[in-house]
Amino acid sequence: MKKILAIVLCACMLCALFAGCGSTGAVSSDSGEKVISIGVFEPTSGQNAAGGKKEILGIEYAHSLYPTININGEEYKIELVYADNASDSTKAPSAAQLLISKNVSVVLGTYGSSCAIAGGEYFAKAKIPAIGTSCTNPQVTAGNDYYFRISYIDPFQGAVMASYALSQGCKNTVVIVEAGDDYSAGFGNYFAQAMIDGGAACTTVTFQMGETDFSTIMANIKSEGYDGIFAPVSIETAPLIINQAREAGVECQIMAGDTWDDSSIASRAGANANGVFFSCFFDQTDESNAAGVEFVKGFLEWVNADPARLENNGGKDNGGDKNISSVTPCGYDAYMAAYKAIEKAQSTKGEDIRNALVDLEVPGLVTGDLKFDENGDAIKNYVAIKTFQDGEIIFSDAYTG
Amino acid sequence: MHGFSYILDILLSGITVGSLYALIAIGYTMVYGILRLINFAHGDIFMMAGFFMVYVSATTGPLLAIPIVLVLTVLLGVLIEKAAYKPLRSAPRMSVMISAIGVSYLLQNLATYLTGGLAKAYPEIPFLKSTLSIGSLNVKMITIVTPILTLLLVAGLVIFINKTKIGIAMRAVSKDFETARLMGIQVNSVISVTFVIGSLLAGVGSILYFTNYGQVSPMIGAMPGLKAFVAAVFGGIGSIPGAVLGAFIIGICESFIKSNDAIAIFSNAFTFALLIVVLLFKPTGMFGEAQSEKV
Repeated sequence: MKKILAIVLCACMLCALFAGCGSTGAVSSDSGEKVISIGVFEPTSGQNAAGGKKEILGIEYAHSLYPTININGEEYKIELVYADNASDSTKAPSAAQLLISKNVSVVLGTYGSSCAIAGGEYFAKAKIPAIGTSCTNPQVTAGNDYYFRISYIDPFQGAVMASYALSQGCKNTVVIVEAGDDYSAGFGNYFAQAMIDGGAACTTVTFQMGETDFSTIMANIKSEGYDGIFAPVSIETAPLIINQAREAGVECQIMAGDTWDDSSIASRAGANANGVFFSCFFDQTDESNAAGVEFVKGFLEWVNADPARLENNGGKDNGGDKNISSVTPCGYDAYMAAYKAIEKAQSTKGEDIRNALVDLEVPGLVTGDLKFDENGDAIKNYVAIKTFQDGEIIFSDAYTG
Repeated sequence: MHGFSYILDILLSGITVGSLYALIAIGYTMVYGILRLINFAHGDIFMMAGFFMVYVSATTGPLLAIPIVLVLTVLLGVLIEKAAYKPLRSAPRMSVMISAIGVSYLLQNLATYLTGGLAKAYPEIPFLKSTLSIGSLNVKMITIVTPILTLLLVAGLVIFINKTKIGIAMRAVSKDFETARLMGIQVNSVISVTFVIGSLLAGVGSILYFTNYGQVSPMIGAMPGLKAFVAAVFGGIGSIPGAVLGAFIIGICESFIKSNDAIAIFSNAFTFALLIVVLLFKPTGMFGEAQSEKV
């Protein structure tokens, strides 16, 4: 009996081993048609999974519209290759190596600056260009010739949020950041700097990764009498902070950045989140950008056509059938940037695509015209400010300039 | 500078966290007392209980779901014992422990796979979610209920172990496995009862814990599980009052450490440093019995 069990288990493991060998290289497939692979480097588990899945939706939607590409007169099928970095900077390198071993030509992602920084050096070494979606820490692209970025960066976002906080009358704010998270620490720091430059006081408190109990921080905030909380933290942590603040009787203004544009926060914090505001990349009600309007219409139709997509967009209960997180267009635009770069390079080689990206210009994308600066960051000057209202996310203000 | 209500806030937060650790720590300490096994899957049983609640209450409503969730959690605990630990009863102790680590990863990855890796909102239990306002102090109902319920359960458990027949059998098995078996004690059923009680308390703990924080994710069991393990070692592994006291001390210390910005970052480090210090200087913990080597 035990021997049979052992043999069956061995057989299972052998099968798994062979399954791993089944993948093909970049430019050939079983049916003989040409294939080019694009790596999707996103978290589908861990504390940023909700954001990662929404970016993947943007990428997949773009892929459904542009599934093939013409290189040197030959039709190539575009194949998406996925690697889950698990929202964890210690797991990101192995996810990056997985994509490299599968010979992807270009990488899209990721949500979360820590994972982007951790994976970036591997892409650079393998000479595979990566196009960051919503990772906003300047360190992602600084000193890395192979990392580009679709979104704006934190020094800009921090300054915008600080000026907004000052306009709301915050004079003595506290910044709550997660230790060891490059996004949280970096963005918190830029915000604090901008607040102090603006003549207000600003204190930073740190909590440890995976913390769920903020009652002591809330007791401190009550005792110190801060008039504003700025919390650049993950989607999973956000409702904990909002709910525990309001339950502890902390009534001051709560603010955050791009990570909070997620309907799950709105539904989990409910009325507690009323009046909380945050900055983000895109406003789905904005009708001034034709590409944006078209994207919103097409994307919602595409999401509602498939229950699995609807679930990844937050599920119907969380408004996933009508809301678009601002990270989704970042995923879409990253795919489009990669597509245009491959088209321009007329090559499947990472190095050629990278050279094409450097001076690539794509007008009329969903988050505006795209052009990279000398660091590889998209030149952006638009920030949408949104707020929560009874479990819904609503647009409040826009900042341009 | 800080007022009295501030100190009270921090203390209450520590007591709540401590009593949640206590409910998990009892499961560790009982299983260790009887099987000499550190059941690393215990924190993940706690996590699974959270997910059971999410899915069961979606069809039955939160109040009716509570007993169903507790039964499911107990079944899971017993199933793990039967499937992963019982076949290894005569194997070296290390094999069982590695099996426990395997079960822990299996549960985490199973939960990640089945739930899609996202945190799920925990259903609200109306009574526990309400808030009391006393002066400037806002106290959540759960903050009051958690320590009281924990102490009641522990008192009940101590009576159970000291007075009932099965409780006496449990103590006998924990003293000497082989002799107890020779004396006609059904060792396997005693072990099953241990897992029933441990899982039941983990289930109760999970309801209180997740009601407090509002969401469940597949990896959430790991940290409370580890802290509860430290509490069990600190109190003297195998001793129930020790585990409870250890859990309260760790909860309150963490709370006060976290309230000080300068050292807040070291709250986890403190807990694990405590584990090392206890193992170095007093491996039997506060209430652990001294082990005499059997010849």
